[in-house]
Amino acid sequence: MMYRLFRNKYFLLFLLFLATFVVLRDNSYLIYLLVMIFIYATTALTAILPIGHVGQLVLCQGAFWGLGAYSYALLIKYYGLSPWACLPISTLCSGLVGLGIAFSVMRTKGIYLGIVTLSFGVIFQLVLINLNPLTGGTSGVNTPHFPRLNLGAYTINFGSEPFYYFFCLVSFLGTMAFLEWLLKGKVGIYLRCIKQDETAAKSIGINFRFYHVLSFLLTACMGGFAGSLFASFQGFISPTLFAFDSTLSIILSGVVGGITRLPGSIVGASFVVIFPEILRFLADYRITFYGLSLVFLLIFLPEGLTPLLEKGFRFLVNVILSRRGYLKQSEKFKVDL
Amino acid sequence: MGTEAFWHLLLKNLLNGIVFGGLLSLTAVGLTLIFGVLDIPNFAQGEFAMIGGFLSIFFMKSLGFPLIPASVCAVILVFFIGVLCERLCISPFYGRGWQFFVLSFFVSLGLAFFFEDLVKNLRPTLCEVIPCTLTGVIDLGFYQIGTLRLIAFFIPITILFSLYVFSKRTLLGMAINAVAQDTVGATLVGINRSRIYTLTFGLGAALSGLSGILYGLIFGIYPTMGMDLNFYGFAIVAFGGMGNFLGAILASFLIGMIDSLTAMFIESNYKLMVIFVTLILILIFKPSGLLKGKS
Repeated sequence: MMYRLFRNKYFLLFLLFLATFVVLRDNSYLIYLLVMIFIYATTALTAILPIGHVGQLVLCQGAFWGLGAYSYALLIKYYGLSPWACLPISTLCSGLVGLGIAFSVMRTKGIYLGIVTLSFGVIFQLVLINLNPLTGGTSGVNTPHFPRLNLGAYTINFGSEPFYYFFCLVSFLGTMAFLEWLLKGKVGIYLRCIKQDETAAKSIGINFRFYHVLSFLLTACMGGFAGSLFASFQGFISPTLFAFDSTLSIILSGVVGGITRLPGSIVGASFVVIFPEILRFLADYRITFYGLSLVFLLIFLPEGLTPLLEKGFRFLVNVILSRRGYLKQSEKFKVDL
Repeated sequence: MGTEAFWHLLLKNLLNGIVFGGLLSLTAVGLTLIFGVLDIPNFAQGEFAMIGGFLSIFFMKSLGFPLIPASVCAVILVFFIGVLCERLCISPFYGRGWQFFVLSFFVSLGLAFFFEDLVKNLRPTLCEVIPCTLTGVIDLGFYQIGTLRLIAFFIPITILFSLYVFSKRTLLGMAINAVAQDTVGATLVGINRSRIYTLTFGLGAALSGLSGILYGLIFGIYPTMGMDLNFYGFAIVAFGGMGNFLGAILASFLIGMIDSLTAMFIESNYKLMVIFVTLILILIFKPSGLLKGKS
């Protein structure tokens, strides 16, 4: 029983991040980075769904983030809704817009779809900047944290960093579990079939349009959800946060981790969030080296970082367990990330 | 505004748009060439233009070259930078199937980050104009056009025309065409595919570098111009059909005119927005561009 539990990757990941939290709980900077990693990873999970599993290039995750974040901020600002209610509503908003985009660009494919979605992202950002009376223009909007809950003698502070940490962690793991369930079943097989050969997929009766729209919808919804989490956690949003760069960072999280590996997104997100911070000692030349290391990473590890980590982890566990005599030579410890 | 003054302004803006379109067409043709032959959505294309401009400034100010030799040196250097990028960074991904597209996209982005930030650090400037002694004005009666602008309009036209002749008449040009049409077939008849790839990437980069120099002569260049130019370039290339030579030229003049008309009638903040809205509308009704492109 214990053995099986320890082979469950969700349990392992949760344990890993629980331990990380216990170690780092006083360092609010690192906790902040970790929450950002979870938010990036949650978005990246669905962001690579159209690219890695359907073979369509969708380049407007930044705009979906922005939709979620701004609908969260503006609903609270103008209608005084509770932040908890705003979370699903902004998810829905972003999903609806995503649905609209998906239907309007139904016939475009490949690179054309990439350019169309890219232009949606740019247009969205320009709208945010120029719709000054509503969105506050370039000066941005303040977004409240989740409110405190008073239970008689106790107060639960939902706006605190530990809460965000675990909320984002659980939403990441939940998204991953959902996607894994989805991709293991019928839908996943259909998607892979479409990716390999669209015409063949159509000819055996797979509804291409439906799955195209479905992947787009999932991307948009999760983008909106993560965007509103991002807004709530940051406390302030402005249009520059949702520019083309954010789209790139999100998709990069997926690509660096390994584009068809679901847990890869957390590895990739760690790279995207932490690596520029590590390079801070280079001062002005930070992004120069970031770009260069990105190029080298992709050249030498085109499958992403995850397979490498997986191998290293297995090797380590096998060495430790077999040295202690817990493991016969024949049954190696396996964790399939 | 009187009617005559209005038409005057309109004509002036249209001509400005055509000059701007001519500049864009070099970048866009380079982009479409690279996409057509190598299948790479090259996001370093705008960066090549920026490098070209800054290299020519470097040759003129630091080494004391006159304008034309400096530009020629800059273009040749950009060609070799392009060749180096392709050999070192793109060629490891050949034969990776559908992953090639995503990987090359992100590698070109990594290169774009690298170049942009490098130039930003080496030459922190807001906007720099390449100095030029040619300042005369030609009077067309209804419109006065700077000689420099006129030349900047005719250079792309000449280059594009000679490129067209090159691709139709010379053996090398035909080989590039063949690889673009059918890679396997071209390899079978004895064309060295990887050499063609390298050459094409370098050529695309050099075209972009030249457009950067012209851009610097007329509007001025800045280290972050690459991404703006990329947006314009991709809009043009999708507009005209990816990989379609004629489409890219046509679309770049159209986009140049849309750009300057937006600045006249609406506001210059909305330039990119109007261009992208037009692009989306076009792609909704014609999913592979105005002229048929490669999908």
